[in-house]
Amino acid sequence: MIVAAFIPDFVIGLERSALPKSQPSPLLVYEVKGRRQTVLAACPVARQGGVMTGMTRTRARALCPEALEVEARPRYYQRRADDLCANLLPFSDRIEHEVTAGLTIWLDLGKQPPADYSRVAQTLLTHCHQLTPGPVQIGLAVGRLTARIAAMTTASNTVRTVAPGHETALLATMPVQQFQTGKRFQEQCGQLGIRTLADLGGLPYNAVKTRLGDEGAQLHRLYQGVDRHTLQRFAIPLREEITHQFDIPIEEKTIIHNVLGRLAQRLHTRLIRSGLACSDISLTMTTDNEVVHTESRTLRTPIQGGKALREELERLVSLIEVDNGIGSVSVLLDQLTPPVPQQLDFFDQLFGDSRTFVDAAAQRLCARHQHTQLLRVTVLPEHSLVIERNSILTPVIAA
Amino acid sequence: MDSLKAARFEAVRQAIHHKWGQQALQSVRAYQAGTQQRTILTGFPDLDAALGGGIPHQSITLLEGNATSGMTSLAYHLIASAHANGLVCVYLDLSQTFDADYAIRCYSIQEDQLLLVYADDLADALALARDVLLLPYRGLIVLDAALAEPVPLFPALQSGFSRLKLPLRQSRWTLLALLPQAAQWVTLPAALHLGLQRSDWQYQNSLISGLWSTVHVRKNQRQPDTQTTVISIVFPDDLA
Repeated sequence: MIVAAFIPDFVIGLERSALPKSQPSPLLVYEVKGRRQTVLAACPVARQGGVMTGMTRTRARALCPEALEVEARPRYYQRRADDLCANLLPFSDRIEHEVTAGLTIWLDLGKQPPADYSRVAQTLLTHCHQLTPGPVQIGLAVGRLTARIAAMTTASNTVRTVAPGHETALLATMPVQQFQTGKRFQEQCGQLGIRTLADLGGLPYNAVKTRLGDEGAQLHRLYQGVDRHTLQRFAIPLREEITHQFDIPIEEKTIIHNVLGRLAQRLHTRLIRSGLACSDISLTMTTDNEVVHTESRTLRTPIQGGKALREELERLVSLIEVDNGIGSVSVLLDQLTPPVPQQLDFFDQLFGDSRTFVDAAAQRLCARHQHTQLLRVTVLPEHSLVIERNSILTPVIAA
Repeated sequence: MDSLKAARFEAVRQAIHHKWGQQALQSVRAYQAGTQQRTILTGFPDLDAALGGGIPHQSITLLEGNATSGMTSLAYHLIASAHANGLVCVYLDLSQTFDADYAIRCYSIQEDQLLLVYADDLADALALARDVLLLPYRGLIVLDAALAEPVPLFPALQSGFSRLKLPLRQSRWTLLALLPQAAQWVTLPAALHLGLQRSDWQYQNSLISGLWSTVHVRKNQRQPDTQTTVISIVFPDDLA
């Protein structure tokens, strides 16, 4: 069974918590796509005024002129969603999530007695409440999509369970156009008078597949409760974060540069210890009047060195314009990966001790593949007729 | 370049060669020629001749066959050949059937140059393979999915191999995939695709001592003509 947790106001909740408490509502978050600026999420007050996701920023401003407009920070939302998923690992290691205006998290609960599913769903609801302030909706079904639909259609802070074989009752009235399908498929459905999933599911499978192709067949299978999507195993994203809190607000740039240099050196030590390099670097500065300024940069080549980190931080700090004194500085290194092989590594391999291959590989791979067993093979000198006694497989761990 | 500069250059070159070996400093042309023509020998002269010198480096090779077709033996031969040429090996074992004792004792595979990985599913194995490409070694990655079901395996392999193809070419690794017999593998983005089928058993004193295996070259980007070669796989004495 798969459980889906839907948090409708995830983005708004995050942005609201980042704002000073004295800021007035309502709030809307917009995203920039080329030259277009569209609404990604709106708070309930703005929604009541007619603002909807996907609407242009100009139109939203006309409908709700008093709203505070904030630019979307997709990486930040992804990070917070990853953190949330990492907290749910005790429930299952197969977790996926998707962030739009809201957040949907799927967990594969595997095979358990039916009574246990509801108990786990209730526990999950309580757990989600502790992790996020907004309302949470939970759906429980055999398939991934059905679980999501169940979660999205249930009331706030409740659990909706779709028993195996009862998917048709939930899905029957759903319009075919609501699913992400091709334009040609939508046109064909319109010509054949197919409006809901019940219309489609009532037709023979082979006929649907012949006339409407794979998309039709997939929706037909979904209606019958057959959802073959399996959840991927969730790997905790590797990142390093460091914060420096000033005793008094600082305006002097030299002091800030010195502090950033020290932070870069400490981060460099941590990266060397874990054998990783970062591809994404973010600098957050909070002023004494609680305004948060964030700048981030994605690097073409992953970096690990203290000097390179310091240069990147100085580049980011030059982009931030602050009027007040700085209360705290925070640096986040994201997208940590094994560093790109350097020329020195090449020489190490050619002329160094090649017997360390298994250890070196484990050092680089263990951190990112915690769920995969890496093994060292040792064959014993005495040959036995019992095959298991001839060799030993030892799990390798990073030093 | 005047004679004094030439003499100094020659002295520095000789000092580097003396300290670090001949491979440490070489002309760009010699290095490119060395890297472009690198192959891994299969250990069967007829098959090597048919393939143009073995399986190509920095690309994907598929071995397809059922149980007792000789596919695993050929893979072990390739790992041993890779080790003999100073390459390391990462064996991604999806079905957890790697016989360490047999491989190391009978095929001279070096245990300190072999990392065995038990992956639960293909997605994990391919993700790990992508990270292996970043390791600073020349080596061979063996993806053993010989016992997997072909139908669910195919879409994952199609997308996974497409993503691996370019990084593989830019790395110093070679990927060898062992797959069950199925028709759809032809469309996978591989440089070489071999199908193995057992022709007959070999007997010695009325005991099975090996097998004849027919190798069909289904796809070879370097030599477009498809060929068929029969190889003799003799089980090592230690197997008995």
